[in-house]
Amino acid sequence: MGKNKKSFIQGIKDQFSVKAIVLIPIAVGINLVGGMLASNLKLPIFLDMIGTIVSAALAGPWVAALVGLLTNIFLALVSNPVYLPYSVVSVGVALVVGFMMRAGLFKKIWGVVIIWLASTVVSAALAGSVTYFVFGGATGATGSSLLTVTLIAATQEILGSIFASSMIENLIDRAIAFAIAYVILKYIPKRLRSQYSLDGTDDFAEDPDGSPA
Amino acid sequence: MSKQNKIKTKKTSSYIPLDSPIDRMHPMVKIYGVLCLGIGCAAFPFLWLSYAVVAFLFCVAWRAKLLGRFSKFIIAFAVPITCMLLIIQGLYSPKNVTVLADFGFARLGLEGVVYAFKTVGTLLVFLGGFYLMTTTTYPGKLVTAMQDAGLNSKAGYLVLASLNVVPQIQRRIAVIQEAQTARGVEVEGTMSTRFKAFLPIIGPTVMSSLVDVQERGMTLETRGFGVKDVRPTSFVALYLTPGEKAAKKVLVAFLIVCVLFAVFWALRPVLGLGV
Repeated sequence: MGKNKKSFIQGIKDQFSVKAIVLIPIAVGINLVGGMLASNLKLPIFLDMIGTIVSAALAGPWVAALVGLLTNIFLALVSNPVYLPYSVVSVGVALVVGFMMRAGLFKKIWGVVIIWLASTVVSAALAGSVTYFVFGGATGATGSSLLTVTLIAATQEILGSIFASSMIENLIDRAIAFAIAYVILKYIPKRLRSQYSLDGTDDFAEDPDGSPA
Repeated sequence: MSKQNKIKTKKTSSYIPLDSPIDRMHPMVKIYGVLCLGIGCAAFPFLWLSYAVVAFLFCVAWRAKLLGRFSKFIIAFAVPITCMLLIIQGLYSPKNVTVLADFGFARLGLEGVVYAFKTVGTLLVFLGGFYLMTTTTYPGKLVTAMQDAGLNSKAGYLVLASLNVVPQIQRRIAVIQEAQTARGVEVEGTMSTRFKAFLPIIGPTVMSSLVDVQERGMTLETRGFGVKDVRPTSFVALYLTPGEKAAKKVLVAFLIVCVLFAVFWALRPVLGLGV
């Protein structure tokens, strides 16, 4: 058991090569800029986890988790401290996505759909818990707060309503984010992917004929 | 091409450079302040303490010459969340026993209202303190203080590099957006047109950022970033004054008193003390 644990920690450490450490701030930047671009094009979604998905595919779940954490810390520093407790959501989703990618699910379309559904459920559960246990039910800062109040009035059920409203909010957003990340990852040249140490395996879509460089 | 559609370069830190005693204070004292006051108020079983601390934070904001901005931040956060929580907890909390008012469709319960105000008070202490810390502390100083307290230098790099990278990517995305508009990608119009514009802009941004990762990685490696067992030095030097050491002790004492009182209050029935 002890030996097993050591190799687990060593595995995490191995993901953090200098290249991976440099990737992290860039992925945080992609997350934030994706969100800004979405609001700039006046799209009704966030799209602020493309960087997390890309870093999960390139450098592994733990690097992606750190990307998620830093994205929220950055948002808390720059725009609104309300985002800080929600870093739990980013980290949780990044880990789920990272480990499912490791399992090879990102290679097939149905696998992407599974990752999408799993990450939506996890993020709705975590976001709902943060909203309920930290903020008592609503932050007042997001559009879904109104939806939550409406649902509570209709169903008289606080926790279920919070969960349902964050589920609706996330489902569409994540679908588009994964679709975009899937397309982008297909086009990343092999030269750029191969330098991140992931036990020498390639983690995502790799058809012998595909992958235009 | 319209100007308003370009990505606006947002500032990358909420730090506002103003010369004030709070600005000059050691960042570690401010971190202690946020944590001790926040956790203390969260543990304390009564409402009034949080609001007293919020009043104290207003004094700190006044000393930091940020009273206007701080008030705006507090009001913008407090008003909507108080309304939401009064509806959610006040009307529908399962803990409600004492009825304050009956609206026909729902009853306003005392327990829910108290819970709502307690939550808002604690959040105001945490968020207000955090807001004051970030607006009065230069990020470089903050990271140096955390490294002095034992934070890994690579983690420090990550925080500072993230702050630096964002405006850089924003400039890049503006260039790419112009280039894509020049070759006919429409960034305005119906929802589907705007959706279609997203990929041609974000795709090249990600690719060029990944190339940038390579360059940065090589630069850092040649400068010995990955060298082990060497303590890196920082350009920013920080010292604690005796007053700041005392302030830290006071903050920790506040936390301990609050937690001890909360434990005592919770154990009151067990200890056999009256209500």
